[in-house]
Amino acid sequence: MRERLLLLVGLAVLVGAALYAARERARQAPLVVQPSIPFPHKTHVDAGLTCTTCHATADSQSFAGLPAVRDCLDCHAAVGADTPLLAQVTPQLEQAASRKEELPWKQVYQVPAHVYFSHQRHVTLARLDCEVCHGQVKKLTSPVVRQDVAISMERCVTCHQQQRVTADCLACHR
Amino acid sequence: MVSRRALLQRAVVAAGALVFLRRAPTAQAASGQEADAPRPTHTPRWGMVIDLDKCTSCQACVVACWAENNQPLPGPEAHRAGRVIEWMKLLSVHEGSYPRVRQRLLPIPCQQCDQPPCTTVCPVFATYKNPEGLVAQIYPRCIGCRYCVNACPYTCKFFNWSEARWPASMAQELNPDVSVRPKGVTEKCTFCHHRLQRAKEQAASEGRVLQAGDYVPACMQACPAQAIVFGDLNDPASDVSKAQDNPRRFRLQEELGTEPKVTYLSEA
Repeated sequence: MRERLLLLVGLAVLVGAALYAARERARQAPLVVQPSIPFPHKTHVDAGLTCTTCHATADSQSFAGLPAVRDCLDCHAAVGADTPLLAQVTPQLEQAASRKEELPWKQVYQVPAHVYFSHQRHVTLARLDCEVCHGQVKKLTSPVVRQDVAISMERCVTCHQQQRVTADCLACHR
Repeated sequence: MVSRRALLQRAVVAAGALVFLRRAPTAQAASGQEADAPRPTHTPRWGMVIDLDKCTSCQACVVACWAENNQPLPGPEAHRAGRVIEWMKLLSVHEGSYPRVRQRLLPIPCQQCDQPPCTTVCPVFATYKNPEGLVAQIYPRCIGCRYCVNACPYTCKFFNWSEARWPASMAQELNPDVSVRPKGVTEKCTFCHHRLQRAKEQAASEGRVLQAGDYVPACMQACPAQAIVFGDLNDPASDVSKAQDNPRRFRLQEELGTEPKVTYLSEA
């Protein structure tokens, strides 16, 4: 009787630990999103666009910004539809524009709401390259589905200490 | 054998030398202090002066603070339970004696003490005084033990007893620069420090140092009587330093030694 009880308790503890571990792993796993449009960064960078062509406020605001459908069409109308991908994309863009809808971009790089992160501060004032936090986005031929560089507070603080900039909590927490 | 006169002479010389040696380092320190005065890296110390003789108790500061800092709207239950979150609150004070009685409302934000009692009791360093003198509350670090809430002699720390809720019509009106605090953490007035984050960045992008007026808390901005003065206490030329230098000045519960950075001015 006593052995059976002990076995039960032990089993319960094991199951609990396993559940907790699974939850923690899920929490720490990099965010993977389902891409809504087949957007290749590389094609656009090779075509001569810079990051701020589409992410227009990356050097002047806290948020980097995403292009409006109008901005996409400005170029795409001229590019034409001579590849299978373009033949698929261009009508989609025109359709969205005619319905006055925006593209359903998905945010992959996020910080929690209690963190004040400013692109301007890092891009313009600290002169960091986009790659420092966004990795090899420029070379991606498929849509961004996960963070190339995992964004974490540990990473922020390590870099702030190395660069000898403020690591005061209030500089970033709000 | 040394004569009495020679002994006396030696004693005077020795005493003189001793006095000189003692004096010398002090004089050096004094001149050093003078050289220090225009420091190249100036660390501000943020403080506030509230002129009660100008204040009309209109409560614009309270409303501005609520809107600016995403404070939840308390219902009647919260009021009954004494669980209203109000970073800028009004203390009613009666003055005089019958028949010349006057009621006043004293606006009380966090006093941003230089010797804060709340930070010393925090077991997880969720609340601390930063180099610029702001008493901070780091919400994700807070474990909700409420030690600081009880330690604050001004009752300026508030615990989130329930999830913050707003009417659906107000969902789009929250300030994106301020996070919504989750249930179970303590919160407080931060002198609108999110405005400082923005002001510093703005100043840096324009290639200049932070100037007076770049960083203004919401309560001061809203005050129609201009009863609130805010600025750098370390700068003797700032408006706040000048306003503080006033015979009408007093601080709340000064005898506790908390050294608040909020000063009140009142004739009474």
